[in-house]
Amino acid sequence: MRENRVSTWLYRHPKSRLAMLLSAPLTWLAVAYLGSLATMIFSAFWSVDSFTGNIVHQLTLTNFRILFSQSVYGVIAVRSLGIALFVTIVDALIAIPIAFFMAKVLSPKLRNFAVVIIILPLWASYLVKAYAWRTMFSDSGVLAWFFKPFHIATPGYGLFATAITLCYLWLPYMILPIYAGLERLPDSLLEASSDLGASAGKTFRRVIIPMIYPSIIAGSLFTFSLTLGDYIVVKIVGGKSQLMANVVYDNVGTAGNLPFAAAAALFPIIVILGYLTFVRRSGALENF
Amino acid sequence: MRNAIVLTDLRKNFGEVQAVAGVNLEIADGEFFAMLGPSGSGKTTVLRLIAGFEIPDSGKIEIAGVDVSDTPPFNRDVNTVFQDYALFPHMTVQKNVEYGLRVKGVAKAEREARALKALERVKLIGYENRKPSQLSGGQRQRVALARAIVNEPKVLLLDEPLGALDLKLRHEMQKELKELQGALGITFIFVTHDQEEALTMADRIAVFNDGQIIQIGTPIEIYEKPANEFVAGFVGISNLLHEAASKAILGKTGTFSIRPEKIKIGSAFDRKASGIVTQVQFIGSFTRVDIELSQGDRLTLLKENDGTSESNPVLGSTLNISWDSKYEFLVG
Repeated sequence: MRENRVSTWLYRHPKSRLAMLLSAPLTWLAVAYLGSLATMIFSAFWSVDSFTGNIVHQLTLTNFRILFSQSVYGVIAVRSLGIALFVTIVDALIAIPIAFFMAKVLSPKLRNFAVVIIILPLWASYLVKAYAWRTMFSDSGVLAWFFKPFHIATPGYGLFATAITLCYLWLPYMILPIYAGLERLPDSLLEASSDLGASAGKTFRRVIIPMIYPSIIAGSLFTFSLTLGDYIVVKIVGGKSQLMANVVYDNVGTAGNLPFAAAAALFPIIVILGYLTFVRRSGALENF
Repeated sequence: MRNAIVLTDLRKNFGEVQAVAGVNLEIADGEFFAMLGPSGSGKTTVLRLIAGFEIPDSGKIEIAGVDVSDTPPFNRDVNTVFQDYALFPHMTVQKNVEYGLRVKGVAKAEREARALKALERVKLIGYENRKPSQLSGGQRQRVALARAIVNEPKVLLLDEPLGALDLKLRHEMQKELKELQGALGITFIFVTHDQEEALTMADRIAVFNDGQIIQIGTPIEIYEKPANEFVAGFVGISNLLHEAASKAILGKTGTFSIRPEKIKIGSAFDRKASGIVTQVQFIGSFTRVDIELSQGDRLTLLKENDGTSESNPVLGSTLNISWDSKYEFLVG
């Protein structure tokens, strides 16, 4: 019984057991996540001495005054929000039928295969995929070639190309939670709805959508926050357009104004918090 | 009498498996009909074919004289009580019951009144605003019933309706289902693998095996005159006398069956046999005694507890038994 001594001790001391389980991840969470977040929020209220370029550790609202007074930042904020909304809605519209097909039509064996196919693009480098879309949107790209016979000009690089590329990039993050939600939905519920006289459309509206609503919210949090935080795709396929994340990036790099970057970086955090509050208030998640 | 359901040469395969292999069945209006059989015998598939959840490979399904073989479930005048109840978890009890009326566009006031009436019928008044997750198994069963009968279907289909309930609740619900069917006058078709449930509740029973109906009849017919060895074995305890024993004891050829409660200890009746006692189980109101005949067949008899249980047969002893020859029947 000697080799069981440690296990026996742990069995007798549940609090120590819990401490050993959680100390490492909690330290990581506190230092790496909450710590850096707090630092960022703090530094948003500092400023930079315009002569020396040094950070002035004195609380001030200058950064926010600039953000709110210069109309360009308002335009960029609205544009970023619009693209995030567009990406979320388009991804949801594409993801729901795909996830439904995977969870309810495919056999369980093919289902796992389909999940792998959906995840597969995530293995490829993000940059490779972004540049692939750059090639496709170019003047001699595959899109221009395809639409030429219909006399439709491709929009080229710009916000539309950015939105489409982001839709492509974040689609798996929308499909997977909706698929998981649909897989948990018993087939008998759909049969019951049909049995009680509901056509496919009514079943979709009254049973499927309310049942997978939490999954759609989960997926939308991914697409929304990933879009708000992205500055690379817009650099690659967005032409001269700028999004809020570019403001952060440029102020960290070129301008060297870390406090202003921190202030701008609060934007997606506040938007996501607002979105979560809205979802909570709507009560849609307390339906079960 | 009009027929509520007519099935003509119904067939359904799942890949290589023949789930339903040529079923012909007529169920009369207002009947309480049981489809009994072991799992995989095709009884549930027949129910799902009637509901419209499966499309038959061939054959015809008529509901109240109308061919519905190509009609989707939402246009069929039948409703189903699902084995897992299939209540909508995001709706209250009231909304669940109203669902069928709601999707058919019944006005709000009428919808609410009819839902309340249905809930009253299943004794669930006061639970309207609960969610299914806040109900017990028996209560969910009642909601599922109310949700189906509120639509006043021609036929109510019940898939193993009492399978998930404990024994006591099951007996209670058996009685209530029977009363409910009598009060509503709707045709009930229920699927079960529990022979006792089928015998106690049904007006008529169809016994299924391997995708086919082996026998249709009243509970008494099915029990007293099983069509073959399978029915004899599936419904009640079967005592089979094979070739050698039949010849020695009955003086006939073929396989015969005799129900355990018809066999008595002693030699009061015209068929006499004796064997070694291999098992004695005291059940309460009965003692179950297993005997091995010299020809190799085993017989089970049920000795009523008439106050003489102290003198039950002893394991390993030789026991003389007898039965009235009118209770033995040829099964193969």
